[in-house]
Amino acid sequence: MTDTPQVLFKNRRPGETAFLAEYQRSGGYEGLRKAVKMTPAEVRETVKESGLRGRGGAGFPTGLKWTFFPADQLGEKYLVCNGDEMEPGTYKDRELLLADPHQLIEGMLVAAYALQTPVAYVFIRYAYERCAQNLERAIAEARQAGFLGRDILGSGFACEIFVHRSAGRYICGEETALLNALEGLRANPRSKPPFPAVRGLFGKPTTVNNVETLANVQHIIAHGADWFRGLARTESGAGTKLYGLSGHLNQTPCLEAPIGITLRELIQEHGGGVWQGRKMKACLPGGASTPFMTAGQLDVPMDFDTIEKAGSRFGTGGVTVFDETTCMVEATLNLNNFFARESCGWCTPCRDGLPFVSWLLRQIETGKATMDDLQTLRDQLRNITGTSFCALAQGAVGPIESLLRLFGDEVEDHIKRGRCPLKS
Amino acid sequence: MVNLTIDGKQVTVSKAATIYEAALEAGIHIPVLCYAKKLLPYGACRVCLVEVEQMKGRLIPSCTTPVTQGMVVTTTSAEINKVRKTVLEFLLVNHVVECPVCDKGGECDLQDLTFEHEVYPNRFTGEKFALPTDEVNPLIERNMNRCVLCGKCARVCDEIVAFGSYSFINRGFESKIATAFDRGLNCEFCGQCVSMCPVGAILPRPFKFKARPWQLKEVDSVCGYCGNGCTVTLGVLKDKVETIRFNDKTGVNDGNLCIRGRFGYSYVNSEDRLTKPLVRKDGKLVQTDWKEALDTVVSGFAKARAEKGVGIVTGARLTNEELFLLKNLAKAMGTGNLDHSGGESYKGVTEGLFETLGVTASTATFPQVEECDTILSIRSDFYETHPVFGMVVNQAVKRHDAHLIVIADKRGKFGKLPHAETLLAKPGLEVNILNAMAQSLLADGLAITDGVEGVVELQAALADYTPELVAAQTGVPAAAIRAAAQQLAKAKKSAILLAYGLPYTAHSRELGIAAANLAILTGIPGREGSGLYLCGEKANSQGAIDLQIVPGKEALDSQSMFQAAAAGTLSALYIVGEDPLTSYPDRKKIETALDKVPFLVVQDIFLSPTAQQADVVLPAASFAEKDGTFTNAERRLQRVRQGIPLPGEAKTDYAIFELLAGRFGKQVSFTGPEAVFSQIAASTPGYGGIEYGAIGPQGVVWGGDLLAVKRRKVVAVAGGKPVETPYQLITGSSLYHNGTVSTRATGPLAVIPSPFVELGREDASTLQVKEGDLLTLRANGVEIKLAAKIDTRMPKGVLFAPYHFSSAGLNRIFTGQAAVPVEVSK
Amino acid sequence: MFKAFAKGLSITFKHMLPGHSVTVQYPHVKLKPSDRFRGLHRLVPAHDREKCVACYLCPTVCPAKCITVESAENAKGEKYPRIYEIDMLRCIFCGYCVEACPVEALEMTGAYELANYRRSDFVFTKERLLK
Repeated sequence: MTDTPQVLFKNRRPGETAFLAEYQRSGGYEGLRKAVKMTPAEVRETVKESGLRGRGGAGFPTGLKWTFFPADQLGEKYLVCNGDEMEPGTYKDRELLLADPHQLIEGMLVAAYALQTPVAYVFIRYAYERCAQNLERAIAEARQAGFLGRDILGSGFACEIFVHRSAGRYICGEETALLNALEGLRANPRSKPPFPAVRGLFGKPTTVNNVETLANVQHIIAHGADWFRGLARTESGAGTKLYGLSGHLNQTPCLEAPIGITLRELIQEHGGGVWQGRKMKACLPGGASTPFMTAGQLDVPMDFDTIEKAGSRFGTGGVTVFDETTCMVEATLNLNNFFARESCGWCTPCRDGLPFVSWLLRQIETGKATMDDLQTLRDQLRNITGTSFCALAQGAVGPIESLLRLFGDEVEDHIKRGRCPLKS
Repeated sequence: MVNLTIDGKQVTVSKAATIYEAALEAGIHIPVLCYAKKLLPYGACRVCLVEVEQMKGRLIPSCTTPVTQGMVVTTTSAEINKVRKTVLEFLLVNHVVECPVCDKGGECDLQDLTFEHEVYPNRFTGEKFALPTDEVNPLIERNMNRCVLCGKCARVCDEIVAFGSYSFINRGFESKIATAFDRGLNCEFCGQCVSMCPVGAILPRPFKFKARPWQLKEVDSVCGYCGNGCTVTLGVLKDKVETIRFNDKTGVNDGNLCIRGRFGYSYVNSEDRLTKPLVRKDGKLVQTDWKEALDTVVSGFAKARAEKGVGIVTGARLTNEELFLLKNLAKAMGTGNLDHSGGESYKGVTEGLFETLGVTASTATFPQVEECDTILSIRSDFYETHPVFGMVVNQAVKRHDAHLIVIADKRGKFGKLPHAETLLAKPGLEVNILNAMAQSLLADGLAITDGVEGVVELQAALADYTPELVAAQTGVPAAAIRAAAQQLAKAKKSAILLAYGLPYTAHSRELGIAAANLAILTGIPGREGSGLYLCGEKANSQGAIDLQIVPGKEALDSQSMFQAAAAGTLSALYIVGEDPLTSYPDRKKIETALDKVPFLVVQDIFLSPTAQQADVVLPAASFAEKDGTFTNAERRLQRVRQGIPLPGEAKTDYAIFELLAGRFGKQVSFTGPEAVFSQIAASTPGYGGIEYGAIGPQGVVWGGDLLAVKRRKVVAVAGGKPVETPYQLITGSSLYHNGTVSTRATGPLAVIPSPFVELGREDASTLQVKEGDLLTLRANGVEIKLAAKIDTRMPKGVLFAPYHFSSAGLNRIFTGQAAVPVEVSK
Repeated sequence: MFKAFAKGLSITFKHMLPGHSVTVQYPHVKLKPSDRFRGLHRLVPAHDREKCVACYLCPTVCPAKCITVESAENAKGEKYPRIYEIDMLRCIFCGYCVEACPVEALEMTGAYELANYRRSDFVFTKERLLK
């Protein structure tokens, strides 16, 4: 079952955390040692060649993101690690930080070296207290060992890493809102342009990367771009991915598997199949903001492009499975309630539009809706998509849009029968 | 410049413009709710969405997206209109639609947009907000049920006022604008939020239910309070000024106003206004007609002229035209004893700047300060005397990262700005610090000395003012003085700000010279973008200086006039628009003078304490009742326009001076302010070529944006000596008041209703006083009692009391010193 | 020919019979105008006050400029018309005021007997309009 190479989870033991000694035994800080002997431009080039794509949900190529960053420019610059993992159904970063915090520290140091940022922040979710403590201990150990601080490994490069505990809001996961929160402001997204690479934290150039993304960086440097590309099962993909299973499954582990593994393999082999012998009805392939996929799409390889082609998004790799007894309207309503509550309240379509969509879904679920309401809902999705300030509303609309597309009959059934057909 | 196409129209705009601004320039209307010209782009309301050919697939917010070359923009289409309509429907779902009782009705952006997009009926239904309203304070009323969450109030309060009273709280659907801990508003009450609110969520309470916007006659004029010269638009209903309307199209203030400008107009409508001339008969002032009053005045002055002479003291709230006529009248009466504003206070300009630079005005204009790298503000009171210029400084600091240095004897609002540094000195030692800065520049070779006269002499004279010596005197670290000097020297664009006025009579000439020395040594005069600003306390302080309302040769200045009157060597005093008994230093002296002088005429709008002593009181006009021009502290000539008729039989100062001049045999036959102004333009240096009719909405700056200085001569001046008593009292202006007239205006009085003395926590605990306790201050054998106000901005041993209130009797112990040594007890 | 003549006259004489007259013996007999007749205005009362909220729409829309409203704040903090007057000498009974009213506080009654002896009596104050 675990014949796939373990990169990020190789030091993972149940209930234990690998700290410096163990981390170094398994080749820890080799990536950093190698990186500081290269020029920053070479490091960036290697990451670009590796085809690493952001693991936080949007899947933007990390190497490309780094080319926008004025790494050679003098002055204050920041690297920020986005550890505000609040997407429902996603818990991979927690597992990573519980198992092996040094990976993130090393990854950040390599990234900081590549981008020449003297200061880096880890913005971590308020609920991940143990992860934050792990990180703080790892930072202390790394400093003791000379991996962190002034003159890292004799390279002359200096970098400090600070851990910042978030006050806890879904919107903090949006990179510009995260920067605002980090500055001590209200966590509202900022308008782009200017992009963070131009004007980010404290008005200085900033790059924001996900925990898992950064944890991959030093492995790429240590083993090379080709090795990293070879880890994936698809042509275009690169590396392995942490998948967090949840929902109506027999087992819900968080595991590391190559990019390009099929949904079927994940669900059948790793998840032990749908629980209580039922059939799968749908799944969210990458967290709550990705459109549903159906049982008919189980053979789609888990990669950014392939899933996009299948009408959804790869997202964070947090797979949530729904069995055949689930009412999809109710499930969607539940998801949308979350997004409506977590909207920052900045722009009108999201702040006022999402609660209204929730209201419509509730009408449908309780059988009070009419066909006109359904039309209004369709209309609203179009109005909210592409008009809101940041991607939160867009993400919220994803599942609803797929609900109407994939389970249109079920929705209409609600309206025609005047009640939820799945509940007696 | 960038070329783009908007709705098929070719537009060329600057690279920094947004799509919305480009459309505005092309005359294409894009609806907006959260956009405001003077605020940073925000993009929250999503009403201004447009389509851009190059970014197909989603709609682009036009107010935040910068233009790019070749952009093709469509501002209206069925799709866009639908989205806009939906946004409005969303906003209206929970917006309490109570337009009939909402004072914004008629000028409400949401109402207009709802009408424009025919949002009726609303497809959505939902619960209406039922939030409590904030009606605790008498000036600003907040009803968050009407809020559309555009954030303009929070933004203007933060970006421009730098107070930060508001913020969003809660998230999602429950987001709302609130103050800290969601309590009642407690702020500067400048009402900037009122002016920015696009709906009726934040409204001026004094105007509550008074009128509909379309009923108001709008009259563009200039605020009558301080020398900042903000344009105000009077909202006139039935011959009463009911409100001040928002107007960001005229003047230098971008629609920004302080509490005085926005809420301080009400004295104009006061019941206490003088409506008839008063003449003293049998020891009592009785109402009379103009004929008798003028007869009494003329015979009184004629008699006095024959005896020991007449003295004329005026305030600086008269228009240029009136001051000109007053000067003519003085000539007609054959007296050279003519002065304004207490004489002493403006000497920084008339003597200080004249000796060093050869000019008698600020060298640059206010908007230039926004781009400055370094700003030196002398006295933290600057924000309090000139709040709207202070807002320009805020923007320079917040938007352009300007370095702000404050030399002050107490902490103030400027000191709280990012990167601002306060050099907190013992009272009365500002000159010493300026000298030390000049000394350090000269010693370190950082000073610009090319073409500067008197450098060697100055260097020699400043030997006693090394930063170290001054540090020991003032308590400001030498390193900080040096750093400040270096900061000023290396700045490419810099500004030095200094306010003057009645409460700041001490060292006024010295401060002017010391500031000018520093300006010369750092190359400020004549440099693009840099300026030395000496800002007068009153609306036309600069005009009074330009028109030379100063004593003639061998004539008495105002202090000497009162001295002479007290000594019995002056036979009559003519006091126009001034209340010396309240506002001039040394009340004892003024009292004696008013008591002793045989004939006293006071021309004012209220029966001030001074007027109560008069033999004849002539009722005059406020700024809202007259036409003419004011010259503000940056030399900008602006039109004052009559909005309301005069109360009762009151006459404008213009008319009174004309009548009196006629009676003194100098019949002047001007057809109006315009004719007078052409005389002023012909006879006043700098005013040449300016036509009354050509003074447009932005005014005319005489001498240009950058005033050419006549010379650059540094002059040595001696600094002050520290007061060594445990407690010392300083006076000055309070943010909410200006002069004495604001104590008749309900707006400022709502915030500061009575006199007070401010002291630090440390002193308060030593003296065991609580907020509001009566403190006894004793100096020169006189005792006054003031209510204590305790906060953190006063250093130990320093007390501050504003000078505006007559009842305080502050000038019984304040006789013109920088700091009054006082004994304090409970 | 005579037949036709008699027929015509019979109609004339028929109208002379009692009960066929269209003349109304005003003021002893009064006509009731139609429901849509636009007569004297009436301010509609609510529980303890007038329904009018002094929104100023009626004086704004009035083409004859005969309505005077002055709003104020009552003890409960509500907006109410401190003064509400209609000068009936200037009113043209167009009914725009009723149409403009957002709160249906103003209506037009069937009262058409508005003659009076003094000009001042034609100015209907709030109290009179509330009756």
